[in-house]
Amino acid sequence: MPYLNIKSKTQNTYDAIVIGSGISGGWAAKEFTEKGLKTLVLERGRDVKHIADYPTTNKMPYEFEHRFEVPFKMRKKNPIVSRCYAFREDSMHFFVKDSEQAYQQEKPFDWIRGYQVGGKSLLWARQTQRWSNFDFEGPARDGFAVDWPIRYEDLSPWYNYVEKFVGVAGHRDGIKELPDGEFLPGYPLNIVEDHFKEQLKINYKNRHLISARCAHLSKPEPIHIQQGRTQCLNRTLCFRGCPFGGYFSSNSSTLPWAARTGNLHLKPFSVVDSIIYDEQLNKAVGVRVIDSSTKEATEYYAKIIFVNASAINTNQILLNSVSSRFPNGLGNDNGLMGKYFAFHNYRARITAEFEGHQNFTTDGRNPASGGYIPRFRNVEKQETNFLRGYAAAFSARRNLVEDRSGIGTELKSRLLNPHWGRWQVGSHMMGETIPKEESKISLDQNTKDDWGMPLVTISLDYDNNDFKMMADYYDQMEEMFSSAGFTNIKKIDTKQAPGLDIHEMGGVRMGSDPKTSLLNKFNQLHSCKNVFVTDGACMTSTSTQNPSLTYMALTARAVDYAVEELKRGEL
Amino acid sequence: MERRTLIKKLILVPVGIALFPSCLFDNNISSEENEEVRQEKVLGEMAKLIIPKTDTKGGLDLELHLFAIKMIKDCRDQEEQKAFWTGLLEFEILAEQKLHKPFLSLTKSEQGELLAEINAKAASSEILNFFFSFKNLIIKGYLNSEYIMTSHRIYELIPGRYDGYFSLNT
Repeated sequence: MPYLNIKSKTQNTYDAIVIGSGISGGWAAKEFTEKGLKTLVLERGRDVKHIADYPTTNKMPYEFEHRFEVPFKMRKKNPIVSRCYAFREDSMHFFVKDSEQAYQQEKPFDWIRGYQVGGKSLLWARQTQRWSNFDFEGPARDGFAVDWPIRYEDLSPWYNYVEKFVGVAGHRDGIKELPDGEFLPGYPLNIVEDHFKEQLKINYKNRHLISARCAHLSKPEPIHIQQGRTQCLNRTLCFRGCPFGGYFSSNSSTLPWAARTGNLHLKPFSVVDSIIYDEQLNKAVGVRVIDSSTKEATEYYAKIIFVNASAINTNQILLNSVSSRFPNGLGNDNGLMGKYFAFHNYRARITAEFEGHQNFTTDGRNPASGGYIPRFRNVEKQETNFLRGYAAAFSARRNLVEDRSGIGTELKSRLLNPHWGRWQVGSHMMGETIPKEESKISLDQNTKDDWGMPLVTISLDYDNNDFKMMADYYDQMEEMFSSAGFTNIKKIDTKQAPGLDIHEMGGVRMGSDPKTSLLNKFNQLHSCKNVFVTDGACMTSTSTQNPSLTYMALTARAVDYAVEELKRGEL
Repeated sequence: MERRTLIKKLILVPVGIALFPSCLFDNNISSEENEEVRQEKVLGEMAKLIIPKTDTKGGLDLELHLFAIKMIKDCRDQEEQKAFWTGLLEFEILAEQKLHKPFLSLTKSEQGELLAEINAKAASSEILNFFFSFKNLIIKGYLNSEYIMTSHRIYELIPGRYDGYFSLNT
């Protein structure tokens, strides 16, 4: 028996374990395997192979029996995920259904999950903007959360590094609050978006509309061809998975790249219960995994463990990793784990019409989906009655519309001969929210989920700062829209709960001081050095930019550091 | 089951008896299956009237009424479904009441006039709700049919381009 145990221990031992195969886990897998480490990637969901497992990808609209509408029974059974804009008949197989994993909401929180190989990287909105020092210095300047232990200069080379591999389409806009990167050719703005851009230039000093930067191969480089990806062909059916690898996902890019090294061991259906801490060695030695169907537990061992399970799951795993050294969760000496959780405020929208440029429309489809207005409030200094600010999406489109009145041949002829409607413009706010102690992820020890883990409990809500910011967004956008000649302006409060932004962040924040943070500047747990967190859980503050690019850069940087430390014998 | 219960309910209401279409009491009514067949026929005729066959295919040729029925059954909640089938029954009653014949026995022009009136909003809210939700589904089914998307208003799966300054002055 001892022999067998030793054998199974040897069999289950790797150099590195990565928990999660989404956008950051995929990067950890790529970096470790390229550096020669035998790497186990644990994924709680099923495998999704690039192309082969995209069942809807080449279907025409009429091949979906409900023409993209989600059937009523599905919606009724799964009200939370049904509120997600991307949950449609053609993509619903990539989302976790409400019934698959229970959680508790102390305040309403729509938790959108993608449990499969590739995670939500199959489903992301592909917007990729860098942070600047205006973001990293935010908490210190404005006195909330804790100071970030890093600055733009620390991350900038890693942004370069990941952007080159990911493929980011963008223009060099020269805006200091949104640093330029390593870009493939950017997508153009359309005629009305350009009109708005010019109007902003005329009417404001520091408000810019740029073409949204996105992880699409507008013109692939050899590195992308080597990944087996080809040019984005403007289908904009990304949520089905792209047969061309036109946008970046773990499935199309990092995971197959990692597999090619021969060092990748990918294990789907593996729910990580906890990280195993060795009290003698004073470090983590492995992870405890529950097979998602048989519920059987297995242990895997490694020198380095990266936790990339997605923000909430990472909190759950760490809080559930208890030992006599860490009774409140691995690395949680200060009791702050799970706290200072935050999100992006996406509640506010504004729409309008434009009567100009009637002789123009768009042709084809824009993968970048339009324009992006970087944060312009409180950038250089505090100037409003709320902290921080918001970025805004902006796009203009013109639809073919048909007069649907009448019946018979008259109606039929109208349906077959549509006309171009007016230009419609729209924007939504992407507001920074302030992480607070009472905004938190905790575990309900009295209730267990299907895999025997304490239930995730989420307590997160909008606050006054968020409402003041929304009011400002409405005012400023209305003024910007009016001065650009847009009419029929409508302000919309979607009243959506936090979570639908799918930008939940924090709980295991980075910081310089172990008393007030969980991770150091290399995303290493202060008090358990061979465990790293580089997904959304590590975020000290949220800023306004879509966070995925930053997770990827932090991950590549942390792996580089971890491997150097390993070589030096420090781990 | 829902619709049979409904018929029974209508029978119990005195005014319902007075208005109840004779066709519903003929030998077909005994079976729910036949009732469904009749309703499908009525909806098929309506689909044909809403989008008639000309030199191109119409609503009945494209079986848009079957698409509409599928959408009602799969994508609407219980209440909306009930309202739809009640609205259809009331519509049939209206035909009977106005023209003293079951809808399916009316001439083409009588059927067309009746629908045109309803389309002009001259009917009860129950009938209007039913009619416009049906009409919208017929239009949706039409515009999203393989026939239209491949021969009239072409859907491009792979555009391979984006032009933000496409001129309409050609």
